[in-house]
Amino acid sequence: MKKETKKIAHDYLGMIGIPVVLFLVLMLISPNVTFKNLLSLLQQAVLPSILGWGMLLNMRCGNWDFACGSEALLAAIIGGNIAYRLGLGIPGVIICCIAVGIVLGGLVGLLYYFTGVPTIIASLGIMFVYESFGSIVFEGKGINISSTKWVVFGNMSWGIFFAVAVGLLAHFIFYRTKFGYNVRAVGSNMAIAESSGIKVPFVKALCLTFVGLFAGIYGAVNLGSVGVIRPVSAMGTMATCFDAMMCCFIGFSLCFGRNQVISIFFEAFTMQILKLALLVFGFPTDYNSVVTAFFILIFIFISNNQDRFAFIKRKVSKV
Amino acid sequence: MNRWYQDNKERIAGLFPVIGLMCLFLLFSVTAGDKFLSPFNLSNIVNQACIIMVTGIGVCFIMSHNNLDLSCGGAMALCGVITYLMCEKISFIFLIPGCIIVGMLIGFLTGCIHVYGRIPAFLAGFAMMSLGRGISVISVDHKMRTPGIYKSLNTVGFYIGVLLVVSIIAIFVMKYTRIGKYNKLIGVNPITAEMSGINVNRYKLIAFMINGVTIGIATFLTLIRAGAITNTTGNGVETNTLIAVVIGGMPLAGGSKSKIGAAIVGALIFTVLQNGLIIWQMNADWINVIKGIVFLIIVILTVDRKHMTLTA
Repeated sequence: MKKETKKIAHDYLGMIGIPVVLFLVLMLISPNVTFKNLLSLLQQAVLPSILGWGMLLNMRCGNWDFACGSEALLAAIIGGNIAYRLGLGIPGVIICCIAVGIVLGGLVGLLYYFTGVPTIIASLGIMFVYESFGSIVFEGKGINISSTKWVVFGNMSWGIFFAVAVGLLAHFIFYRTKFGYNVRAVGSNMAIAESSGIKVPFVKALCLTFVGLFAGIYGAVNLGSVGVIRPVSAMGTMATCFDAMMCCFIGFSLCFGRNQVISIFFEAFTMQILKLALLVFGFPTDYNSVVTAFFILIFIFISNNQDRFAFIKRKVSKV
Repeated sequence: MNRWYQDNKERIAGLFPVIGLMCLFLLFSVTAGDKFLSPFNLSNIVNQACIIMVTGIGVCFIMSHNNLDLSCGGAMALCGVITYLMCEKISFIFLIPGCIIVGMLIGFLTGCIHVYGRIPAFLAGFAMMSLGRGISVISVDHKMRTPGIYKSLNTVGFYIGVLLVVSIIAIFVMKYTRIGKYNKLIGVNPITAEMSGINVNRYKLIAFMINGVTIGIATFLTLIRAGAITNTTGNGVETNTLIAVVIGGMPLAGGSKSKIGAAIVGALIFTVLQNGLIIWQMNADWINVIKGIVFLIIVILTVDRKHMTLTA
C-alpha cells in the first residue's frame, strides 16, 4: 500500500515537476523572470487547458477535430452578442456561449454520425463554413464588451476559480460517467469496444458535441478576459486548435498513467513557459505557432516511435 | 440500357465535374453576360485557376496514396521567402530553378517528417504551414519585389504554357510510370503494396517531392502575378486547392481512381464559381460559406467510407 502511495506521489511529482523545473531554469537564465510571471503564466494556461480538456475526449477516441477553434470563435461572437444585446451580464455570456458552442459542436457530430465522413474532413469543411460565418453574423464586427463591467476573467482569482470549475467538470465527464468510460474504451480498442456493445459512431459524434461545450466555455472565458473578439479567416483558428492539441499530446506523454485532466493543465502551463522562454531569448511572438507545431511533431514522434526507442534502449543496455 | 449503365457507371461519374463546369459557365454567361465573358475577366479566371491547378496537380500525387497535404499556402510563402533571399545574394536569374529546388526540398522535408517520423501527413503539412506562415510574417518586408524582367511574363499565354507543360508531365508520370502506379496501389492498400515488394516509403517520399516541385512552380507564378512577396503570400491556397481537387472528382481515399484531370477541372470549377459569384456582387464571406458547403456536399456524396483512413 505504501509502495503504491509512493508511486502515485512520484508520478504526480513528475507531472508537476517538469514545468516547475523549466520555470526555475528560466529564472536562473533571465533576471527579468520572477515569481510574478509564474502567476500570470498560470492564468494564461487556463484558456488552452479548457479547450484541451474538450480535445481530450476527441483525441482519446480517435477523432481529429479541426473545427474546435472556429467553434470557440463563433460561440463567443454569437453568444456574446446575444447576451450583450439582452443585457444578461457575464452569467448570460457564459450560458449563451455554451449553448451556441453545443449547437456548433453538435452540427459537426451530426455530420459525422449521419454521413460517415471522416472527422478530419468533416471538421475541416465545417471550419471553412464557421470561419466565414463569423465574418457575416452581426455585420462582421465580432463582439466588443470592453465598455461593460463584464470583462472579469482578466482578474486572477476569477480566472483560476473558473479553471478549477471547468477542470472538475472535465474530470467528472471523463472519469465519472458512462460516456467517459465508453470514450476510454473506444480509444483503447475500437473493435473490442464495438463487440462489447458500445455504439462507437455515437460515442465519437457525442465527443464532437462535447468539444462544442468546451469551445463555448473557451469562447466565454476568452471574451470575458480580453473584451473584444474579431472574426478570423483563412484557417486562422487553427492556432487555437494547435494549442489545445499540444496540451493533449504533451499531457498524454507526461501523465505517467495518472489523471489526464490534471496533466493537461500542467502541460498547458509548460507551453506558456516555453512561449515566455522564446520571448526571453528575443524571438518575436509570431514564432509561437511555429514552436507549437514543432513541439506537436516532437511529441507525436515520441509517442509513435516507442518501439524504436525500446530497441535503442535494449541495444544500449547490451553494450 | 441498365447493363450499359452498369458497364459505364464509372465513366459517367467521371463526366460529372466536366458537366458541372459547363453548367456553371453557361449559368454565369447567361446571368452575368458581358462582364463574365469579357476577355479581361476570362484571362483573370485563367490566371487564378492556373495557380490552383498547379498546386492541385501536386496534391493529387499525395492524395493518390490516401493522404492529405495542407501545407501548400505556408510552403509557398516559405519557398518564396527563401528563394528571394537566396537570389538577392546570388542573382535573380536563378529565381525559377530556385523556386523549384527550394519547393522540392520543402516537399522532401514534409515527406520525411511523415514517412520516417511516422507522423500523419496532414499534421506534418500543418507544421510546415505554420512554419511557412510564421517565417513569412517575420521575414517579409516591403522591399521584396519581383525584378522587372519577370513582369513581362505575367501574361495568359505564359500561364497556359506552364500549365500545359506541368499537366502533360504530371499525367505521364501518374499514368505511365511506376511513381503514379505505385502511389495509387499504396492508396488502395499499403500492406499489399509492401508485400508486393514496393518500397512504400520511397514512393510516398517521391510523391511529396513532386508536390514540392509544383509548390515551387506555383510560388513563381504567384511572384510574377502579385509582383512581390508579402506576408499574405499563399494565404488560403491550401483550402482552395483542397476544395478544387475534391470538386474535380479526386477521391479522398486515393487509389486507382486518382487522376490529374481532377485538379484541372476542379480548379476551373472553383475559379468560375468564385468569379461568377463576385460578378453577382455577392459578399466575399458568403462566397466562402458557399465554397465550404459545396466542399462538404461533394465529400458526402463521393467519399469512399471503407478505404478512407488518411493515415496511410
